[in-house]
Amino acid sequence: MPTPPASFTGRRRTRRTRFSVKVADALARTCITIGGFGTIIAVTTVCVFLVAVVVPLFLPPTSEPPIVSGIVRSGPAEPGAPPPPDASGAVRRDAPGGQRPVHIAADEYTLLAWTLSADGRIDVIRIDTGEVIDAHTVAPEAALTAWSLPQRGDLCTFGYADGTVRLARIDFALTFMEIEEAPEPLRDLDVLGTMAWERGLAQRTREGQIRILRLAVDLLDPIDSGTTRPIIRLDHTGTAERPVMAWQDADDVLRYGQLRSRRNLMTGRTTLTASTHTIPFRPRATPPAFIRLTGLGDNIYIIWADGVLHRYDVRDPAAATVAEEVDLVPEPGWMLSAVGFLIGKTTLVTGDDHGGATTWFRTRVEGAPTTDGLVLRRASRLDGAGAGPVRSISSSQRKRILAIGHEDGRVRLHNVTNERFLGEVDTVDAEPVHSAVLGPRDNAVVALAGDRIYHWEMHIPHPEASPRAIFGKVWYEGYEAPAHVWQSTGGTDDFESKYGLVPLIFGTIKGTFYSLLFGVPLALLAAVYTSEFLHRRVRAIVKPSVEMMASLPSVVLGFLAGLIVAPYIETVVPTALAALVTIPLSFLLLAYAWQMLPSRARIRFDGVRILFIFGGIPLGIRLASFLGPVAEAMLFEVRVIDPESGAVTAVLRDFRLWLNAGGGNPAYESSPIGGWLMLFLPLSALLVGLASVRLVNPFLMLRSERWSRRRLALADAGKFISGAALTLGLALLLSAAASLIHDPRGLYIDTYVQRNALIVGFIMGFAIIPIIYTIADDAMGAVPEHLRSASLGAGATRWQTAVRIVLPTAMSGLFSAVMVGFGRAVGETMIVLMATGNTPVMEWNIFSGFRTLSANIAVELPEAVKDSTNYRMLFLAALVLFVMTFVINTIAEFVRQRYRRRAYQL
Amino acid sequence: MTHTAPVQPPDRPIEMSGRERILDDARFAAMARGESIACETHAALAGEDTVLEIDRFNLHYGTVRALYDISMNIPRGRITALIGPSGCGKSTLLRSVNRLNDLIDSVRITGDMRLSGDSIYAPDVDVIELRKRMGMVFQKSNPFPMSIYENVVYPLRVDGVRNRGTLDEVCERSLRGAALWEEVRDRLQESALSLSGGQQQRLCIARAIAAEPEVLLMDEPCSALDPIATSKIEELMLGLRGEYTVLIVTHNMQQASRASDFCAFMYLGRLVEYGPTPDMFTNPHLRETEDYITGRFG
Repeated sequence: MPTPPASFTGRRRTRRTRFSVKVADALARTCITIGGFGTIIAVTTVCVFLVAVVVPLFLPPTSEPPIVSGIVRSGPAEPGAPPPPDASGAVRRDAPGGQRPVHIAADEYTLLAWTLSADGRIDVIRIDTGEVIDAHTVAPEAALTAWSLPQRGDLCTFGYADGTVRLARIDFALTFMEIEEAPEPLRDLDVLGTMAWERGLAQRTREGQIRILRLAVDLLDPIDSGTTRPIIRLDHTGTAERPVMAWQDADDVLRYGQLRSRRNLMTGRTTLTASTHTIPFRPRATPPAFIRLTGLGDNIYIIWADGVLHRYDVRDPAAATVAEEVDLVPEPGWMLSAVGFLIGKTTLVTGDDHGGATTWFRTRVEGAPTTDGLVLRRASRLDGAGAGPVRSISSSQRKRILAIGHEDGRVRLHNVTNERFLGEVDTVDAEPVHSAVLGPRDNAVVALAGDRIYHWEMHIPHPEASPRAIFGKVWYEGYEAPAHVWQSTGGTDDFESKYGLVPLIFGTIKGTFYSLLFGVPLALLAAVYTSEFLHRRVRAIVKPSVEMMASLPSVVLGFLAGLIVAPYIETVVPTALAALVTIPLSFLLLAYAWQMLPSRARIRFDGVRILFIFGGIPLGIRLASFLGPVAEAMLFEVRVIDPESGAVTAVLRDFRLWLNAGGGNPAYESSPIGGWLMLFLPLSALLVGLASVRLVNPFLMLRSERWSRRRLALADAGKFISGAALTLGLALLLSAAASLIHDPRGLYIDTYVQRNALIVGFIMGFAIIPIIYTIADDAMGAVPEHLRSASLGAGATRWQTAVRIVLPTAMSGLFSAVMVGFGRAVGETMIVLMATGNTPVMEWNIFSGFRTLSANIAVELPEAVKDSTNYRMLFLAALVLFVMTFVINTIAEFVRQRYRRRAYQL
Repeated sequence: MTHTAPVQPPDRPIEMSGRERILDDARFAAMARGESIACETHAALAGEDTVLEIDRFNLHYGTVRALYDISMNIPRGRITALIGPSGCGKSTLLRSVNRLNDLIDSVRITGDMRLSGDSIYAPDVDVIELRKRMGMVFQKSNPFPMSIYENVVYPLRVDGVRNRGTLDEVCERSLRGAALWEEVRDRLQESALSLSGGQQQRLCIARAIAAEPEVLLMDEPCSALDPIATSKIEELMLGLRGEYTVLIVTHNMQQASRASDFCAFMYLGRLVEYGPTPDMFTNPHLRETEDYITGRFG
C-alpha cells in the first residue's frame, strides 16, 4: 500500500465531503425545488381559481322534475256565483271562456298561486297540492269581458260587459310571527313545513318564524269609461297613483285614459277619475286581437292576428295618430297567437302559430317617416325549434328572460338580448299551456296546463352571459344598432346589465398604446444616451435616479394625473399640444447652436453642454405658450351659426369648441384643417426626415469634404430649419387636401374630456419609463465592448455605432424592456382608475377617457355580490387580462429568443 | 478593457529572474527610477518612407504613466511589429494611433503623432475622419452580428455609400485580400458568426482593409487562433505587404521574426530598440533586447 504523499501545507486532507457541506447542498436543493414548484403551483392555482369562478357563467340552467297537481275545489270560500259572460261576443281570443283559469301568478316563494278564470273568479291555490284555499271575484256586478294583468306590481285592470272599468290591486300579503306567538297548530310545523291556515298558507321558516301568505284583493270602484258597450280589449301601464289605460269596446272605439286617484279624507276611500280621449281608430276588415300600451304610456299598439300592428302615437292624446304600420309575422300567412312585453314594457314580444317568438323595440332612425322619429324594429328572433303554437308569453320580473308556453305542452325559456335558449320543460301529457310564469325570483316556472298546475324548480344561473353577448355586438333595448357595451349597473329596476368586455379590452389597449407611444421612445432614447454617450460617472448618478422613479407608487402618479395634471392641462390645451412639438424642436435647435460655437469655446465649456441643451425645456415651454394660442387662433376658428337665419352670429377661436363643432353640428361652422395638421405633422416630419437622410445627406457629404466644422454645422442647421419649414408646409398641404375629403373629428380627435388618454399616456408613460429604461440600458451595457471598438475603429461615429451595432445586438433585451413596459401598462390600475374618468367608450379619440379591464375590476368588485353575474364577469375580465398578458409575454419570449440566437453567438 | 491594462508603476521592483544582471545596466536603472530612455534606432530605418510618425508621445492612465516619450517612424508599405513583455504598453501605443484610447476617461496625453504629416492629436482633428484612414484588427475576432457581406462593407456603409455595385466590388476585393473569398463566396448573406475562429479573424481583416486604410493596426491578431489559422493570417500579412502599412502587436517572437520587416522592442512603457527584423533577431544592439529575444526574461 503506497503511503500518501507528505502534505504540502501540513494539514491532513479530508477525503470525504464534509457533512455540513452535504447538508447545505441538500437543503439548498430542497428549498429551490420547493420554491420552483411552489411558484408554478401558485400561478396555476390562481388560473384554476379564475376559471372555476368564471365557468358557471356559461353553465346551462337546470330544472327539477315538475310537481304536478290537479286543481282541487274543496276550499272554504265560495263567492257568489258570477254572472254568466255577456253574450255580445265579449270573449277574448285567448280566453277559453267559462270557469277554466286563464292566467296564473305565483308568490315569491312559489308556495301559492292565484288563477283568474274568464268568469272573474280568482282562486288561491297551494302549488304543491293544487288545493284551492281561498277564492275571490273581480266581477261582482257586471260580467268580466277584458283584463290586463301586470308582469310586476299589483295593479290589474278589468273591463266589464256594462262598459265600466275597474282597477284592482291583487297581491300576496306576507305576515310573520314568532313561533311562540303563533296559534297552537302552527307551532308543530317542521322547518319549511306548510299548512293551510285561515284562507292562507303558513310556513315555518328556517329562522324559526312562521310566515303566513294570503292573497289580498282590493277591487276599486268602477270608472266610467265613456261607453256602455262591453269592453273587450284593455291594457294599462304606469303606477297605481297615475295609471294610464287604453281600451276598446265592442264597437272597436279606441279610448285612451289618464287616471287620477283622489283620496277622500273622510272615508279614506280612493276614487279614480279618468280623463278620456277617443283616439281615431283606423279599422281593418277584422277586429284586432290585442291592444298593448307601452311602458311610458306614449304608444298604443293595436295588433291583428295576421301580424299587422298599428302604432298610435299618443304623446298628445288629443292629436293622436297612427305613427306607423308594421308587419310582425316572419312569413306571410303565419298568425300571431300571443303577445307580451319584457319588463319595462318597451320590448314587445310576439309569439306565432309556428312556435317562434320575435322581439321588437322602437329605435331612433335618421329620417324616419314616423311622427316621433322612431321606428319599431325587429330586435331578435327566438326560434321555436318545432314547438307548437305559442299560447302564452311572460317575462321575468328581474331579467330579460321569457317563459313561452306552447300548445304542445312545452315551456321554453329564452334570454332575449343575447338570443340564448336557456332550456325547456315539458308537461306530462303534453297538455296545452294556458299560462306559464317565472317565479318572481326566477327560480321556478309555474304553469297552468290543461287542468293541472305544474311547478318546476329552476336554477337559471347567468342567463345574460354567453360568449356572443360578452365578446360580440349585442342589440340592447333602445339602442340604434348592435353595439359593444359594458354597463353593469343602472338606476332603475328594469335596467338590463350589459356585460360586453370588448370596450374594456379596447380601453386597456388604448391606454397601453398611448402610454407606450409616449414612454417607449423617451425611455429607449434615454437608455441609448446614457449607455453610449454619457460619461460613466454621470451615468452612475442618472441611472439610479431614473430607477427611483419606478418606486413612485402608482396611486401617487394617478392622484397627480387626475387631480393636478388633468385640470391644469385642460386650461392650457393648445399650449400643451404645441409643447409636444416645440420642446424637441428647441432641444435640436440648441444642439445645432452649440455646434456653431467656435471650437475653442466648445471645448472650454464642454462641461455645461448638457445644461445648455437642457435649456430646450424652458425654451420649448416658452415657445409653446406663445405659439399654442397663436396656432389656436389661426387654425381653430369656429363660426357660430344662427339656426334660423343661417347668419354668423359669432366667431370664436377656441380649440375645445372646435373639437365639438365637428360631425355635422349645424350650429357651428369650422374648417377641419387644424385637426388634420395635428395628425399629419408627425407623418410629414417622418417623410422629410427620411428624404433628408436619403437625398440631402449624401449630397452634403460629397460637398462638405473640405468644409470646416463650423461651416458644416451651419449647413446642418440650415438643413434642419428648412426641413422643419418643409415639414410644416407639407403637413399643411396634406391637411388641406384631406380636409376636402373628410373631417378628422370623430376618429382620432373628438370632444375634449378633462381626464383623457393624453393625460394617461403622459403619466403612465412616466410610470413605465424607469422599467423600460433600466432594462434597455442594461441590455446595451451587455453588448461586448470589442464590438464598439471594432465599429469605432472602422470609422463609425458613436451614433452610428449605437444605431448600427449596439441597438441590433441588444435587440432582444430592448424588446424585453418594451414588453415589460407593455405588461406594466396593461396591468396598471391606479393611474387609469384615477385619470381616465372610467367611461367604457370605444373610440380612439386621444382627448377622451376609457375604462380598462383592471380599473373596471377595481371599481366594481367592492360592489359586486359574491357569485352574482357581475362578480363572475369581473373574474372573467381578470381571466381575459391574464390571457392577454400571457399571450403577449409568450409571443414576446419567442421574438426575444430569435433575436437572442442571432445576437449572442459571440 | 483587457488589452489596455495599466503597466506596472515604475517605482515597484521589477520581478524577473534575470533581475540582478540587468539592473547593472544603466538603462534599466533609469527605467526603475521612472525616467525616459533614448531609443536605440537602427540606421537602416532612415532610408524608409515614413507614413506614421510618433513624436515624443506620452500617455498617462490617471496618475500612472504608461508610455514614456515614444518616438518612432513607421515605414510605409512595411510590416512593423511591436514586441515586448505583457504590460509594456504595446497595445496602448497601438490604440493611441487611432485614438481609441480617447474612450477611456482618465487618459491624458502629451506629444503627437502624424499620419502622412497630418497631426492626429491636434485639437481640431476629426477623429472619425482619422479613424477612417486606419483599419484595426483586434486580439479577439469581433465580427458584427450581421451577414458576412454587411460586415465587410461596414466601413463603407457608415461612410454613406449606397451604390450596390461599389459595395459588391469592395466586398469581393477585400475578401480576396483577406484570402477568404473562396471560402465564403457562396454564403455572403449568412451570419458572420457561423464562420470558424480563423475565418472570423480574416473577416475582420477584410473589414479593416475595405476602407483602404493608410495603416492597418493589428493587436495580437493571432493570439486566439490555432497554428494553422495563425499561419494563414501570417501569409495574408505578407501578401498585404507593399500595399498596406501594417503595425502589428505580437506576443509571439517567432511570428515577429517570420512576418515582419521591422521590429520594435518595448519595455516598461519605453521603446528600447527599433530596427529591421533580421538585425533585431540576429544582431541586436542592446543586451536587453537580446535577453528578451532569447527568452531570458519576459
